[in-house]
Amino acid sequence: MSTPASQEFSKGLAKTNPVFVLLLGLCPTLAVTTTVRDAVGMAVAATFVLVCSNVIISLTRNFIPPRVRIPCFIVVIATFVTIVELVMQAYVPMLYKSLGIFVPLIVVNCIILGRAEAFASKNPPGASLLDGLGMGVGFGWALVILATVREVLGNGTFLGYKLIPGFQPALIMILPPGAFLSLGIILGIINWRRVRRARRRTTA
Amino acid sequence: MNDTLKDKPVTLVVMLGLVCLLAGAALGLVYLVTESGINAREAEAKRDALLRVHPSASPDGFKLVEVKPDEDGEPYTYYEVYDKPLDDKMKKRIGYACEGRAHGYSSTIVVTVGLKDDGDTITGISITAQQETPGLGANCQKVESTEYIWHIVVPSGAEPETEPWFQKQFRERTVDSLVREGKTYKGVNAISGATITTNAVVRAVLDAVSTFREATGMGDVDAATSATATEWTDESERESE
Repeated sequence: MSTPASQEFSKGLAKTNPVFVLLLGLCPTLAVTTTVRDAVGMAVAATFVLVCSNVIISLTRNFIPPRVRIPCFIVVIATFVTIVELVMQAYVPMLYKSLGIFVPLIVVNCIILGRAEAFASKNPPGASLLDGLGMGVGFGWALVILATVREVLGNGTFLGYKLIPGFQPALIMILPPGAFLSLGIILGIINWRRVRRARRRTTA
Repeated sequence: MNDTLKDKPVTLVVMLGLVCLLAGAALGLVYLVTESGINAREAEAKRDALLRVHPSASPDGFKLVEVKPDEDGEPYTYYEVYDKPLDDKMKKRIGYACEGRAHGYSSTIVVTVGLKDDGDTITGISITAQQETPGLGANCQKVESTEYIWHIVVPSGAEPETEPWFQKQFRERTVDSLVREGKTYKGVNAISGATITTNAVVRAVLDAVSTFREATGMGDVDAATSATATEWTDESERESE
């Protein structure tokens, strides 16, 4: 069942996954994937901003003069990020504390500006919503995978629960090099599989 | 709107202004809704911090004291801590709570310090504000996990740990025992990968105590300690975090 609507959503999950394929938004990807909990919080916050800004930008795409579209995108995105920040501060202070500076930095997450420019400013609101949701979920699962690898190896825990008694975690995995190492290896596996699949298709 | 109008500078300015205006209005509205929540959380956090640094105090036993060093100086505030609620006549002062700050790796670290009545023994510390690197310096507020994954299914029955291990090690220490030894402080276990944050927390504690003693005239922090506290600035601290 490949209706265009479901494709708008599902393309963000795998085919054009923002992290693993487009390699966008790498700053939060590398920075907040030290624990799965932070990764989920970041993914939810970014998805909310992505969906809302996509819809608003899509709705206003016919009124905003093209020459000032980028500043308008930034204002819309920054507004939603500030909303997320205030709401988080008021209702989930623990998460707000642990994400710290990376909440305001969602403003400069290039996935959000990228989708606004590449998709929402040219497509109707419904499709933009699905696109934002798909990209957000794609960003989310990529973050969770990376965070799982790093939290398990670097901290010996998953979602704050210890896994193996007596396991000495490798600190490097929660340090910045660990982020590059795990992301590089994951990207390597994905690309290797893709190349292999493509080759099989051509020979078949 | 036709295309010629759309490209006029006036339209651009008006549209951009309109977008900003709407965004501002939306933010104002959200702020109105969340303001009380944010304030309540902050008050709650402050109270929690005070109780954490003085576990034996009464929850209503914190008296805010304001000291003015001179006519136009900034007032300094600290808490007197009592074992019973403030309106209880039988209450006895068991110590003080004061606040100190120091710059860490990427943020100013604010620490609430509880002191016994002698003004020297620390009853506990609580880091109330920091924006250090998540996963590294931010671990100064991390509570050590004692639960294994199978405890989700089979509860361990153990009391969950609530105090961050890093802050726990300051309990019952005297301020004068916090002396510099090599790159770190004597008897302070550093947070892995975050020496700068570790040292900044100790400096914030020393800052809290020395400003408190200065303001209340309880005498200076031991000369040796305060000297080492100011001697090395951020320059000697630029190791890797």
